[in-house]
Amino acid sequence: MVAALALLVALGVITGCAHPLSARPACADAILDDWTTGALRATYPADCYDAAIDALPEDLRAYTSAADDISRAAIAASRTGGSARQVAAAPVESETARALPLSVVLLTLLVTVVVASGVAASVIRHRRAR
Amino acid sequence: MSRRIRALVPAAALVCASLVLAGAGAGATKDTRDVKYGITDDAWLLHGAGTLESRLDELTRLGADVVRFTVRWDQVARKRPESPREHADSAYHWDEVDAVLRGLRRHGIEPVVTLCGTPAWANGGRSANWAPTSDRSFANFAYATARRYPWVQYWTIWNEPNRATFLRPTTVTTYVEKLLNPAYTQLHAVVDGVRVGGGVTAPRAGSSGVAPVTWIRSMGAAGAKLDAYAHHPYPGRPQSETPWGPKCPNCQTIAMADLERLENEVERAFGSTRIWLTEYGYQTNPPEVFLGVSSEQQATYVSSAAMRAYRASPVDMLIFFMVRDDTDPAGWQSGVFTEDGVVKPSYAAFRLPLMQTARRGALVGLWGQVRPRSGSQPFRIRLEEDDRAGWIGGTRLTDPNGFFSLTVAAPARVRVRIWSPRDGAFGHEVLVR
Repeated sequence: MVAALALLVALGVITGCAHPLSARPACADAILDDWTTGALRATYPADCYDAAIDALPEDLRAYTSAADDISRAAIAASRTGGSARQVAAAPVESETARALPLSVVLLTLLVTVVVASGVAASVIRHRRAR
Repeated sequence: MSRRIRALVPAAALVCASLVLAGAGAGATKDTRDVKYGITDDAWLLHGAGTLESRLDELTRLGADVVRFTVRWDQVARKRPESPREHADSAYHWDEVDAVLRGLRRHGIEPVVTLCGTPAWANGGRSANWAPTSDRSFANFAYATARRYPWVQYWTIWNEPNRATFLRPTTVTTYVEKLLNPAYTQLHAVVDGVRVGGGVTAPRAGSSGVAPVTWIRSMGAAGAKLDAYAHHPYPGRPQSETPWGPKCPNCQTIAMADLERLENEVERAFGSTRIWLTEYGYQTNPPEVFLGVSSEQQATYVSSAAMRAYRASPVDMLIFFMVRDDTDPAGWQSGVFTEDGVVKPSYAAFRLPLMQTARRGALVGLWGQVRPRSGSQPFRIRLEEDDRAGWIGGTRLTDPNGFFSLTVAAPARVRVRIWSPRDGAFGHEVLVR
């Protein structure tokens, strides 16, 4: 229980529960920051996820889903084409680039229909005017 | 009083009058429940600012029905007693426990006593989280404790045994055979009508632990004896998780958002068994950067969790952790007071919780409680908009357990809160949606 843990820490019985934040690399801190803000993504090298999980204080392990969430992000990173390092290197634009052709096709189609309708209407009006 | 609010008051009176006609009583629901709400903070209770009496007075002001307190076997019995079933054995040191438990009783607050921590003489010289080598030794301690405090009705056996921090070996067999079942038998032998909570699980396994779903199933298979299953449903993602969701459908963990999973697993493992939520809370930021929510959010979640427990029919008890934040910023910060003793909004939310339950057109459903004291309590509902305010109706009475459910007319974006005339205090305000 948190209550007992807090009491034990207060009494100095347990000292290993509060893991010093400085013990982890910067990218592990960034992962924890991302988790805190709900923005954890598969954009870090694999080592960083491991380091972040290793550095989690026991209270975060036991009383939050941080370890599970970071593990899932690490798995997602490893599945997204090779190493997470490559994922990190891959620009976000690549996702956008994959999505562009469909948008462009639809937009082109829409513009074509509108222009064609306009031209057809103009021709019809022109003929009626004669 | 703004025109908008002034216009509401007659309408609200009409609505409330119709509720009375419908048999809802003067603001009270017919299907009332007796859920006990409490708080736990051993460090504050034993060593907090002021005297023990002043701290007990504070718990009375808060309206705590129950207070969970841990009786540490390893501290009460540092030496092996010659007659372990005799609470008067000279090896037992009850002074601190006597003061707290008798003080709670004097203040009309029911203790929920947790027995925990193995003395070195009982486990081969190991640390307190190691199980005793014999199943007799803990049973004897439970017997002696019950003989000393036979008026204590609520007991829980051990704390978070699904985590290695608190029990090693971290197995259900160890827990059931060495701790729970022996203590259950002894407590029932001494105290008439005693209720013994087993499980007392953490919401997730942590390092080298066992997830609560697995733990509950294994306890059922191991023939665990219990009157209630106790659990600590701390949120997994405090910044984005309310007491109601989002849920985690296939998880082995159990947070408050997944209370239905706890109900189902307990029902499947033990049949129709009561549930106690013996530790719960949200930390605040500042000072807790990683896990904290704002003080206002914490207060809202305190009310929301109270209603969640009220609406879950197997749940008998919800206990919040803690009274006052840890002095160490790296410690736990879910108190109703800051480390400096400044009152947080959650103080008012604990004492006078209020939640919006529904909206239908211009009508808004409200659920709340006047927690201090017992029996029906008078209250009023105050409506506020900008710097103007007005009352909705007159003074009403809660049901005999302090709860009320009512429907009022209130536009969106006004704020409502409870006024308790006997406490001379407002509750935490709710922004109407």
